[in-house]
Order: sequence, then structure tokens, then C-alpha cells
Amino acid sequence: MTQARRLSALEYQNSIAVLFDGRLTPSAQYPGTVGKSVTGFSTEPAYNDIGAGGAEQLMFAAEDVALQLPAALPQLLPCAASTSTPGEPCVNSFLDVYGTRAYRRPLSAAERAELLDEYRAAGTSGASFAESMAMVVDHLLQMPQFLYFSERAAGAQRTLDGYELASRLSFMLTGAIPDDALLAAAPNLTDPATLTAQATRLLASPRANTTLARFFREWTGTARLAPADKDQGVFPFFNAAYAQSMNDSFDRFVIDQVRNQGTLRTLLRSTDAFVDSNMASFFGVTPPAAGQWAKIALDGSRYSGVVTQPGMLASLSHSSEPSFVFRGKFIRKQLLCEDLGMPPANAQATFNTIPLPPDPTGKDISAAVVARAECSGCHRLLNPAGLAFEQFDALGRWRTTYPAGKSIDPSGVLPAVGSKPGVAGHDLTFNDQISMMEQLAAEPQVATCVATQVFRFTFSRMDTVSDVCAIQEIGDALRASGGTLSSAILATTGTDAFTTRSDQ
Amino acid sequence: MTQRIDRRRFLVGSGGALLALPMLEAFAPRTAFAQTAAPPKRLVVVFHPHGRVVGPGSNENWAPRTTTGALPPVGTAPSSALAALAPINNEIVTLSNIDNIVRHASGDIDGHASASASCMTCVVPAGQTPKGPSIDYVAGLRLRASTAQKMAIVIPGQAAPFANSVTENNVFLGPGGSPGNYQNINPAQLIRDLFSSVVVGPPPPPPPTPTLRDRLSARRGSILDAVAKGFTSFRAGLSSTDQARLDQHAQFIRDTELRYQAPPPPPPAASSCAPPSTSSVPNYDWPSFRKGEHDDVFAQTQIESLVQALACDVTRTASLFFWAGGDPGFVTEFAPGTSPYIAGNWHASVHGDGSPNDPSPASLTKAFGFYAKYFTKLIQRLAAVQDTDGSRLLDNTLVVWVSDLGYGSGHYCWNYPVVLAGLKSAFSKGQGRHVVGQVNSLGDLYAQVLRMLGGNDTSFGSTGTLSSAVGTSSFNFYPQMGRSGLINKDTPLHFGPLDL
Repeated sequence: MTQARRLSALEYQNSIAVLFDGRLTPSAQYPGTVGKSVTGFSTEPAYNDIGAGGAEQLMFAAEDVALQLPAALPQLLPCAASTSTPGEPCVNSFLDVYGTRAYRRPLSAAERAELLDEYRAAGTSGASFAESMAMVVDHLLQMPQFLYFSERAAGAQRTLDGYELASRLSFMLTGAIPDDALLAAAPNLTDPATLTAQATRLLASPRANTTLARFFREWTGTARLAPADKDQGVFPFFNAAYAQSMNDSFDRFVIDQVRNQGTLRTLLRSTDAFVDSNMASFFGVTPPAAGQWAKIALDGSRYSGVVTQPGMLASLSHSSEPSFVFRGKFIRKQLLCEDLGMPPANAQATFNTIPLPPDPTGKDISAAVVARAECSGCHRLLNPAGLAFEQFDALGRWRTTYPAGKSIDPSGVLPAVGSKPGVAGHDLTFNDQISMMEQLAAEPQVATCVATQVFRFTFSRMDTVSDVCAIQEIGDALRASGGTLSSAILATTGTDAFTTRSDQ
Repeated sequence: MTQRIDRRRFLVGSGGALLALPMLEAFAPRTAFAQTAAPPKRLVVVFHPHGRVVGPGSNENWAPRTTTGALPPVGTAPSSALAALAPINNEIVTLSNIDNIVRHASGDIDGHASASASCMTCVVPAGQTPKGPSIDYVAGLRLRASTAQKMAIVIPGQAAPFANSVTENNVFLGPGGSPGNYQNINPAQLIRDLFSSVVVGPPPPPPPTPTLRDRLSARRGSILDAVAKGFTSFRAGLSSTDQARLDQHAQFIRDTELRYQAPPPPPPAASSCAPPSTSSVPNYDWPSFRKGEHDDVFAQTQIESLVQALACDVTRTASLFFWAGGDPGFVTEFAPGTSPYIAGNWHASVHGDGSPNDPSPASLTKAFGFYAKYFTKLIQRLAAVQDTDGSRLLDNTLVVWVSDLGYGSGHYCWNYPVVLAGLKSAFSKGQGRHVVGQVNSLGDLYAQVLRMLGGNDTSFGSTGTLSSAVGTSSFNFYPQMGRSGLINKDTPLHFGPLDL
């Protein structure tokens, strides 16, 4: 069941851009999230519930946008500029376009009347036409039809109508309300061919970029870095521009993977990277022209796909030291979809009591932790995967020794891969991260896990046993010979889970 | 209903002649009433002669009840004499058992003079000569904001001219019993005298044109309300889980809406000051105003001047003085040409001492209706004018209606007809009541008036007992003019608070 959910902050920003053709700037006052996302994706319903002050923030946000309307009205609403007394016919023209966009379907008579009442009330108070329209926008942007992704309750399973499918498709692929072309096609979206055509169009559009980047970032736990994330004593060059370059480099890599026939294997094994002057300096390669980006091939003996992108390595680190726990957790929980549970509340306190040798290596620390019975259950699984990436420091830079001079040994054994109740799983023995990622890219469980992540992203919820078939279909697209990431995404839109709804 | 008048006039300078009375230290307030940003408190005293105009006992025509209790509903006459007060029953408190005790220490013979000299001062007169300031003057000193304001003005309520007799000039008094601040009887001159300092200023600047941000802010409450209703209608087709989510959101909207409900309309910048125009007043041309032929238009005009003097802050203490004790004709209370008092002597008729005019209680009461009628008009006009905070001028103005005697038939100084109105917040037990408390003196009443205006007075005028106030136990006094069995040389001048 897909629950109603308030648009996330990113979806709100994207939607304001679509709604007003990019002429009005979204408000920074739109409320953020509360609590923690279970799936890791930012569109979860509960994650976007508003708190006590949320209604007021939404009001302020709507006003911020409404205040900009009068200046843009001549472009947004030609009838407002063509006559000195536009009147209600012009208001109706506005609602035909912008009301339909905001509500993702034609307005009902009652909805139209409500917004017309707002226009009339404004006029009664002496407001000009433009000001009155601003009040209509203020009202419109606080309505649940705009703020919430929602669908009519289904009871037993039913096929979604065209407008509901348009919303699902648009929010999944562009993180925004449907554009006009999609709304125009909405009445026919129950036709699979039409649905696929629109999905393909949207995925190919630049507007999908932010959504693709969001999927990979939220799946991999790759935050958008800022200078404050890193110890400036250790990385004094990591300023805002440098952080931005690292962020953009990551986004360009994952978007390129989807747009250029990337597969699950290339995602995990590619040596591609995107560099501007900062990132060229980072990798020690010739920089492209100022302000330009270039796609380069990195050393295949060191780099392997998305996990060795500097942005991801730096995110899965502490401010001055890398974290083999964070990196290992990604492999086991996000790439293999193993449920390791949450660490106990006293985990850090316990760690602080563990005696360590002088200048410990990562493996020294890991061994000390795994030796503790209360820690070994999870850390014997996590740590080897993370230790494979010890040759990347807290900013993702290549290294072969620790600061104290000890050499780094990236080899290890990833135990119990594929284990589940009744199945012991198997161990993966590797010399370094390259050989580990090569073996993981071939693991069937990885394809299933990535399909599961796509499912969770699309539906903003954890999967259940009833979703096995949909995840299988998505995974099949990934596992197919030449199965691309984009084909897996498009396959999602063809599943019954996507085109139907059941509340039972 | 409150009248809204944009303020287009304001006070400038001190203007106008001030009361030419010495301000004696003895009567200056030890501390002025507390001044606040709220509208100022004001006092209006209404005075008429001859008390209940009938005798005690079977001729009682004034008291609405014999016990303390509610007055009848608005629209029902509280008594025959007060029938004209029916529209304002909910705005008034009528009092019984108020006596003029101090008058018995005057040493005066039976008559009007000592009653007049003491009924507003409560200071032991020297025979017929008043020796203290009246309540309006004492309160006026404390209420005024500056010496630019006129002090305790006394406005004639009827057209008959003053005869400069002692009895006609010794009701409203200044320090030591000096003449009060009586205003010119010519209503046009009165307007000039009162409002010469009030000039028509430039119109206030128009309110700034609201910006879009102002308009959006002003609509917050309404839009939140509409949005909350939108959530209610939108939830109908959703699953129960989704409904719960939207219900929570809607509740947050409702909580927010409470903070953005439309504020009350802003108060005007000042009270609805609108000085009367002299062009609207009939030319005062003695003797055509004699015998009350034009009392209707005269009283109406004078009331408007009084109210506007308060609204324009020309003064904070004003009195409406119905005197004309000898020969008002009350022609307005009878059918044209039928007033029994047009050709004779009203004073003599009240006393029933052989006047050829009608001395019957019914006709006397009917004539008394003139005072009641214009008291009501005064209250209604005070209620219609807006004060500086948007409240009614009446809400900040205490109105006290008193007389020189209790029962005019015999110069009796007990059971004065007293009506209070206005300044509703000062009445802890509310208004719309008739109070028959213990015997109280006029001194008790005025001390309470001062407390209602913000003071902490426990007495007014002379204190102690009749003999101690005089300073000797050997003096003449007239117990027969007072309440039977009450008056002796040891009778106190104050009895305590009134039941208000």
C-alpha cells in the first residue's frame, strides 16, 4: 500500500519549478523532515510528517512564492497583461493551467470555486488583480492536493487511473509534479505502451538527474559534503568549492551510469570518474579547461565503481579518519541487503574501553573489537568489507600506509555472504577491494538487493513478502544479459505494484 | 450603536480661557488619579432642582423598587417619574436612601439655599453660604491632564436665564464655595467658548497602501481556515492511514490559525471629536426662550456640546445644570398649549403652596419627565460616540444625576433621587440595578464616586458628626427636614460604602 505523504523538500523545490515554469523560486522555509527514514530514502511518509510548527512554515513558504507572482504574472498568465481588467475569465485560465498542474489533475468544481472565492475576497479588500492572484497562489500552495502525494483508497486491488499513474511516474522519475506533456497523456496512461513511452521520456529528460542522484546518494549513504564535514587541520584545502566539485563528481558518475547504458557490473566496477580542476588535482591528472568537466578512466588496480568515488568514500568516513565500519556497513546492508539490526546504545562506550596497541592499524582495531563477544556478531561481518577500502583516506584519497608509516593490508575474507535462516552462505576471499567488488558484482544477491532498493525508492516504503514478484521483475532486468540500470528502472513502472493499488 | 467618525480635528495649544479660579492648595489632589494609555476617565454631573418634585409617602413616584434588585428590562418604565429611562435601564443604577446629612449643620432655616450649598459640596455651609468645592470640581482637578483643559464646566440645560440668585449659583462651586465654572447660556457662545481651542487640522494621512506582504499577512487566518476545511473534504476518499496523517496536519493548521485570527479593527487614533457648529444652533434671543418654549432644541444642543467637550478632551468634568427653578414651563412635556406651568410658578407648584398651577403628583411627575428624557438622551449620546480605544465614551465616563432636595414638596433632605450611569467597569455588581442600602450620606456617595474614578477616598466634604463638623454642640439644626429619627447632633456625616 502506498501511503499519502507530504512532498519532500527536494520534491517541493522541483515541483515549484515545474508549476511556474521556473519563474518563481521555491521557498527555503518549506519544512524539512522529522525522525529517521527506515528505508534510507527521503520520501518516506512518516519522515515527512510535519511537526507542530510545520503548518506555519508551510504558510510562510507559500507566501514566499506568492510574493514573487505579480512580477512574473505577465509571462505566466498572458491574459493578465493583455487587458486592464482581466477579471474572472483570466483567473479561470490560471486555474486551468496552474491549478491542474498543482493538483495533478483537472480541478473539481468545488476546488475551483474555493480558489475563486480567494480571488474574490482579495478583490473585496482592495487588492489588485496581480495581488489577488498572489493570494490564490498562497492558498493553492497550502492545499493538501498540492502538498501531498496521495491516491484514493482502493479496498481490493484496483488499477490506478491515468492521473494517479502520472503522479507516480513523475515523482518517481523526476521528483516533481507531472509536466504538461504527462498530464496531457494521463488519460491514456493505463495503456502500458503509453506508460512506458512517458517513463522513457521522463527518464531521458534532464529533470530526472536530481532524482537519479538522489536515489544513488540515499541508497549509498553519500551525503552532500561541506567543508565542515572534514577536519580542516587535516584537509585544509577542502573548501566549499572543493566540496562542491566532489559532490558534482559523484552525481555525474551515477547519472552517467544510468544514461549511458551502465549495468550493475559497471556501476560496481567502472573506473570512470568525472573531474573538473579540483577533482583533477585530487586524482593527479591533467585538468580540463576551466569550468569544464571531463570523463576520465582511473587506475583499474585502485578504483572500482561507485564505492570508490571520492564523494562516497569521504561520506563513509569520519572527519579525519576513514571508517571501515561505515564502508563495511554499506556492503552488507545496502549492497547485500542483510539485516544487521541497530548497534546497541552503548556501542561507542564499549569501544572506548577496548585496549588497543600503539598506532593501531584498521585490522588491529577490528581484531580487538571482534574479540569482544558482544561486538563480534555484527563486526565480524562488517569489518572485513570495510577494511578492503582502507587504502582510501577520509577524503577518498589513495594511500598505501597509515600516517604512522605502517603499511595497509586490504586483503580479507567476507564471511557468510548470502546467509539467511537455514542457509549458511559462503565466504568471499579477496586480495583487495578490486577483487572483492569483482566477486560481489557477480553475486545474485546483489542484483536482488539493488532491485529492492529501487523498489523502496519508488514506493517510499520497505518491501513486504507481497512485493517479491515486483522485486523479482526489477532484478531480472538487472540480471538480464546487457541489463542496464535504466532498463531496471523502467521495468519498475511496468510491475503490477506500480500500476495498481490495494489497501487490503 | 457606536458611531464611527474619522478624526479630522485635534487639540492644539492651550487656547480658550481657563477657569479663573485660584487653585487652593487645600483642594488640590495629593496625588492625581493614575494616568494610563487607556482612554481617560471622565465625570458628568446632572443636576435638577426639587428632588422627586412630590412629597414622601403616598406620592412616591421615583423609586423603581422598594428593595435592592434588578431594574425592569430595557423598554419597561422603571417608575412613573423615570419612565423616559426605559431605553437605558441596563446602563443605570438607581439609588434610594441617600440623605444630605451635612445640611443640618448649616444653621440655616428651612429652605433651598443651605440644601443647594451643601448637596454637592458636603461641606458645612455658613448659613446659606457654601464653604467648599463641589464634587465636580474636586474630581475635575484630579481628572484633567493639564491646565490647558477647562475645569469642571457647568452647562445650562434649560434656556431660562440665571437670575443671579444665591440658590441658582451655589450648586456647582469652586474652592471655598466660590462660584463654579458656569458657562454662557447662549448655546452659540458656549460652542465658541468651549471649542475655540479645537481647530480643524489637516486630515490625517491616509493609511499606507498595504503591500502584498501586508495583504498576505492579513489573510493568514482566513486562508488557514479554508485550507483546514480543504483537508477535511480532501480526506474523504483516502485510506484510514492517510486520513490520520492528514487529520494530524489539519490539527496543526487549526492550532496555527488560532494565532492568526483576524485582529479586532484597530482603534481610531483619537475619540470621535466633532465640535458642534454654531450655525446649527438657533440664535439665542431672549425673551423668546423664556418659559421653556425652546427647551427641546436647547437641551439637545447643550448635550451635544457637553459630549463633544469630553470627546475633544476640552474638559474631563462637565455638568448639565437644569435649574430654572422658578418658572420652567415644561411645555415640551404636555400637548401644545396645555402645559399647566407655562403661566405660573413651577417652584410653588412643587411645594403645593397655593400656586394657581397644577400641583397634582401626576402633572408634577409628567413635568419631571423632561429631566429624565434628557438624561436618557445624554446617556445615549455618550454611548454613541467612540472613545480613543474604540470603546464607547460612556464606558469611560461616570454620570451622576443628583438634586438639591430629596422630596421637593417640603425641602426634605432625605432619600435623594440619585441615578448613576456609565463607567460600567467601576460597578462591581453591574448596572441595571436599584439599590436600597443602609442610609448613606451624599458624602458617602461622592467619596464612592471618587473611588470609582480611581481615588482612595473614604469621605467627601466635612467629616465626623454634625456637631464635630460645626465645632460646637450648641447650634441650630432642623431634624424635621431629614429622615425621621436619624438626625441629631451626633449623627455621623458618613456611613460607609454604597452597595455598588
